[in-house]
Amino acid sequence: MATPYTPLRPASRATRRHKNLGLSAKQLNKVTSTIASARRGLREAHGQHDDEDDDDLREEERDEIEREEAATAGPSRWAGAETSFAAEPSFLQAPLNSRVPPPPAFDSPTANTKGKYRDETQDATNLKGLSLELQEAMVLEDLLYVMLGIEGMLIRYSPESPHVDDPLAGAVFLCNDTLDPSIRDLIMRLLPIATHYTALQAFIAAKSIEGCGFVNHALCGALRSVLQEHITLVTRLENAFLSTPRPGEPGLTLHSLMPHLEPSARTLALLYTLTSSLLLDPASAGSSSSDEESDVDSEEERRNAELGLGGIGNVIKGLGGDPEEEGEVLGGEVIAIVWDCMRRMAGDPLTPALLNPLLARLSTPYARTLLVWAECGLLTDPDNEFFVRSQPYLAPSFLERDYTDEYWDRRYTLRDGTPTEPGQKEKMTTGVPLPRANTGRLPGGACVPEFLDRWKRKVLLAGKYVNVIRECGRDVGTRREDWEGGMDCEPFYKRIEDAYQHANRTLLMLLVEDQQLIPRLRSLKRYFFLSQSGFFSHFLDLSMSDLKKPSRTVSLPKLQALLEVAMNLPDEGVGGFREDVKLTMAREGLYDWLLKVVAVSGDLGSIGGSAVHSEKDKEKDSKDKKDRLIAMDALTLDYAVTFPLSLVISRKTLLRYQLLFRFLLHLKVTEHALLGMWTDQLQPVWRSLPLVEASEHEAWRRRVFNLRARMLAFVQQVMAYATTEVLEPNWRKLEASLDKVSTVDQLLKDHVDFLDTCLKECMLTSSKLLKVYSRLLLTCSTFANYSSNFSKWAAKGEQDMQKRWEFFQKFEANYNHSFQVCMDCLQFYASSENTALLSLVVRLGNNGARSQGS
Amino acid sequence: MPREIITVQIGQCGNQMGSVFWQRLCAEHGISKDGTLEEWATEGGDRKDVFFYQADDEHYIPRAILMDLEPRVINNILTGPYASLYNPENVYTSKDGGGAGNNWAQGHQAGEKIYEDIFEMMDREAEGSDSLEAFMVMHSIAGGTGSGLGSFVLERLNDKYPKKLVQTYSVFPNNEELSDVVVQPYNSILTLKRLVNHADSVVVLDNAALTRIAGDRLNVQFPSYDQTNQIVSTVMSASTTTLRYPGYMNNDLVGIIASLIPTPRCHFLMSSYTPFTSENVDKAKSIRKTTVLDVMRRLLQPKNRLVSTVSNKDSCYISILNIIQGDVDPTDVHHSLLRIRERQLANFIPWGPASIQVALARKSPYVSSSHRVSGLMLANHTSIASLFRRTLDQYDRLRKRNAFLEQYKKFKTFENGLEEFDDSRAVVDELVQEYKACESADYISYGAPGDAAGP
Repeated sequence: MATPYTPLRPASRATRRHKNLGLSAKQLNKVTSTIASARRGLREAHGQHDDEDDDDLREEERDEIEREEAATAGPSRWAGAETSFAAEPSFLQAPLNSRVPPPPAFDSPTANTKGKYRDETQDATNLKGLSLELQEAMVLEDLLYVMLGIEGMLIRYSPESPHVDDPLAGAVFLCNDTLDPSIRDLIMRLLPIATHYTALQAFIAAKSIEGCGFVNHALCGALRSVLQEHITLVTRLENAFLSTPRPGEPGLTLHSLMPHLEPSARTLALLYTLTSSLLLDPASAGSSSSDEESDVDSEEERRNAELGLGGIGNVIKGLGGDPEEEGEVLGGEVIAIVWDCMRRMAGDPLTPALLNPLLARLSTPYARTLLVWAECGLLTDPDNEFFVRSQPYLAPSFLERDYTDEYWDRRYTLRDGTPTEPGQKEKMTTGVPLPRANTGRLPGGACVPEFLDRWKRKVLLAGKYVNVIRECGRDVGTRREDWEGGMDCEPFYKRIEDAYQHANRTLLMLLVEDQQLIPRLRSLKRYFFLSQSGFFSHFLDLSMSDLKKPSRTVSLPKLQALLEVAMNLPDEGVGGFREDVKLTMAREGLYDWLLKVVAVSGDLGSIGGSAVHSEKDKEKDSKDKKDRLIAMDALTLDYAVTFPLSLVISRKTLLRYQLLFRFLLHLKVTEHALLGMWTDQLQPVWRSLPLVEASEHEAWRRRVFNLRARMLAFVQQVMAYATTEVLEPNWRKLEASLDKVSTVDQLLKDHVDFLDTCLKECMLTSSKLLKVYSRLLLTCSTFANYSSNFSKWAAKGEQDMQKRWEFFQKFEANYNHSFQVCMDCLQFYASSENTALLSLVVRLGNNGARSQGS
Repeated sequence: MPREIITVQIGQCGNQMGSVFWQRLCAEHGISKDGTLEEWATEGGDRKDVFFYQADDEHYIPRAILMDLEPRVINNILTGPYASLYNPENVYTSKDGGGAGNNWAQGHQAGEKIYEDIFEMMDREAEGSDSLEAFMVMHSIAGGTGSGLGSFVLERLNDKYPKKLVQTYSVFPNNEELSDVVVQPYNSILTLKRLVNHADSVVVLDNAALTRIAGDRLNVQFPSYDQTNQIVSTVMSASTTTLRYPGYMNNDLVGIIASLIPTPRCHFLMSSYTPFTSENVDKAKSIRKTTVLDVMRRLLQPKNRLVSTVSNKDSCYISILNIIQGDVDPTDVHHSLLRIRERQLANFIPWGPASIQVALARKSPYVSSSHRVSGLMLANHTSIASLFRRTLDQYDRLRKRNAFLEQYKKFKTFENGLEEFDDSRAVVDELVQEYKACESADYISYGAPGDAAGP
């Protein structure tokens, strides 16, 4: 009883445990695996049979023996030995536990049956007739044992004591019936202390094993020191009990014992309530015992995942295909529970006094993890305690072929599924565990302590940013593990805030200054929005004949070469980054594709995923179309972006740039065709004076002119609207906001907002508008394609007028109709959801509409 | 290089305009008097290759062809400060130096003789370009060389380069006062026929209006040629800014002209420019307020037009293109357009697409300017017909008296009679009628069968 760690077990057991100390130290250094556990079994067996003195010798020989044994021994050889240690999971899993007196409840089954046997046989002790003093002395001696969770002679385990099956519930003791009622009454009041003590011990044993996380270990440490005080108290009392009382003073009596034990009783009771709320429901706890067998598997899996060996199953698991199983209570959840408990019982002055330091202790590792993450971008969270989680399968090398923003969005996430971007509506559901049924709390690390809730995004982002900076090979400062104490205080928040600001500043600097973000964006504007489209007109001139071919027969390298020729004009010097611009062929026409996207998702928000989805659906359908798709409609640009910049210019945003580019390209090409038609119609056949007054030929020509002029005006007005009223002003806004932006989030948000606004104002987000608009544009380009036919007719003078009119009027009627529908549609949207279109309505207002009345 | 433009300056007036125009282009592109790029001209973003090409020694050489039948003006240019800018091979002056004697027929006939010489220059320049877009001809229609030789060049350009645009900047004589050239109306009518039939777009400049603008805007009673030419060159450079400083749109000539000219014969454009300041023209009055609306409104005022025409109540715009230069907020443009529409400041034809197109152009970074916004309007307006009508009247008056016809009969075209005069008159008259017809909603619907298409 001299030290708290004195074994309270039979000697043989104690020595065995002593030996385990060496074992478990070794164990810590080993990779856990089935083999390793088999080895432990082996050692365990040795430990029981071998001589116990030559520890050192055995240390040396052990490895050798193990090797032999691993090679030769079949499992059957150790089957017998295994049963003896299998019941002692704490030996295996909790290295620290060996230093702690295990709760009696953790006894091997044999011990338990022995105890029970004793219960039945020895309960007969009868104290009736003994004097009260004697009874008190006897029971007092027992009581001092019981206070430390050891069964006494008179105070025994209750037959119904739950600790046999569930040590964590603590042992329930019963007092000998024959004891004097007065004494028994007092004893009964003290017995809960023993129950709580054993429960706490069991808790410590259960939670200090590997896999319970730093927070639980810190909690165990804190609990241990509380128990230590209790033990010290009991030891003092025992001392008082055993020493002869000084003359004049009464010896230790039950009555004098009571006030001594009172504070300890309350402390233990409080901690007991706390720990029991940290335990899973008995119902689900039942399943935890079956973890035993799967333990090895899950360990192996985890290790495989860490080593990147995980099979497809692991990837799916990593992706969060299923919600995680409810795991242990650990990490953030422990802190949250303790915090709640403290607040719930704030009325009791003892509670804060006890729990505050406790909370501070168990916050320390959590806070350190948090700060290391936020300040250095390193995530060291082997037991999933922290609210930020990483997907190890998304290695940085993944970026090379990352066609979505997966890396940025999914590499590090919040476990509770809170979206990273504040604007995002839906929560992420994949990989988010279900909340616990009884408390509604998210289990484990997913549970963010309430006081950290408003900081969690900042913490996530700060870490992410620093991580990015780190991955770019920059120095991000040294890691400081210096935080002590609780987290709910200003200095801690200040550190988070500082880390966040610092990370933002540094990353922003990295992007803007080192990576030349602004010039990059300018070059995107230049190439995708054709803001200085001289080169592109030239490209169209050069490649027009190729662009009219079906997209599959066109040689992309040739077009690329032509584009480079066009871009390499001597006066195209400014802008730069032109080597990053590549031509590609899209698989579908712009409008078909957009319509599919809009039809599936309703808006362009989820453009990436749903497009892929719908593509599969309609692959057959699109195959026919693909044959007909001409290069001009499939042409699009691509832009090579390297890592840190790809955070801003991600595939998602690039897709939006491409959409806008194709929208403009289509207008340009149609304009080009109509201008070609105009040039054709400068020829004398169109220009010559009519030979007769009121010539029908002349009338027909004028109508053709007029229709062409209206189409050209339409195309040019749409283009003027899109460029000068949508792209340019929005671009200016973006540049202005980029000047002021102080956080990377804001920058990303501004950029995406800019693109979304542009898409919306360019009519690309509403399926109805898209349909009518694309039909109108199609009419225009078809009309322009028949330019030579019209010229042939025009050359015929007054002949064939009937046919000519019919042919022409088809176009005219078609255009008039489509135009009217388009205008109605525009007007509707302009007055409802898309007010920017108002100016387009004004621009198109007089597109020869008055002529229709004639 | 893409979309090149070759300028052809013909006659006294054409060469004077041209020389000022090239000075201005050089200033805007930061090219020095001898064709080298100025050291400070590094901002770039401009397309010098539309009008210039680079010689082997990096000198910029204008794609300009200078021709005159008398050496005086060209000699002035070739002894002036910009002498070494031009390619000497591109200069044609008549060896005898007699000029055309203000006679269209003499100029035209001279053209036949020197055809080989001048088209050797044209062909060389055309072949030296990657994708030639247009010829830009500068001339006057009143004198002898500009009108006669100009007409000849137009005819032949049309033959040789049927697919290339031919745009002319044609200076019309001042009809309001007596001219020293009494045969002006004859020359004008004969040239007008060629402009109708062989040019694709004619920017009409009118000496009367130029003088008036010089008087009103610049406060100069008797403007020098240099001052009026500066006005003209300002307009010419502004109308090509979108080509030289490409933006989102309007970066080829055809795109600009096509929207202005819906029917091929009605291709006579008028222009307005505001504000003229001393940066463009020496000693100009300053105009303080330049908002987009202000500029656009002023552009619509007849007094800012570089043509004097007489509008009646039916006169209307067929099309308008405003080229706004400077730092402009696009939303201002939208508001200005709305305002102009509300106030009905511009009447449009009743049958076609009727809206003001606005092209926003960058300014040259090398030419400073005290005002924020400046604007050019190119418009196709039916009142231009009044100019032709006036020319016709003057011609008729002269023709009735059969005055001064003797000098024309000396030349081949008129040896066998004066049908060419009558033919030209008919063409111009037809043009006037067509402009008149444009003012009516029936313009496109007369003679259509039943108009089944109309909804």
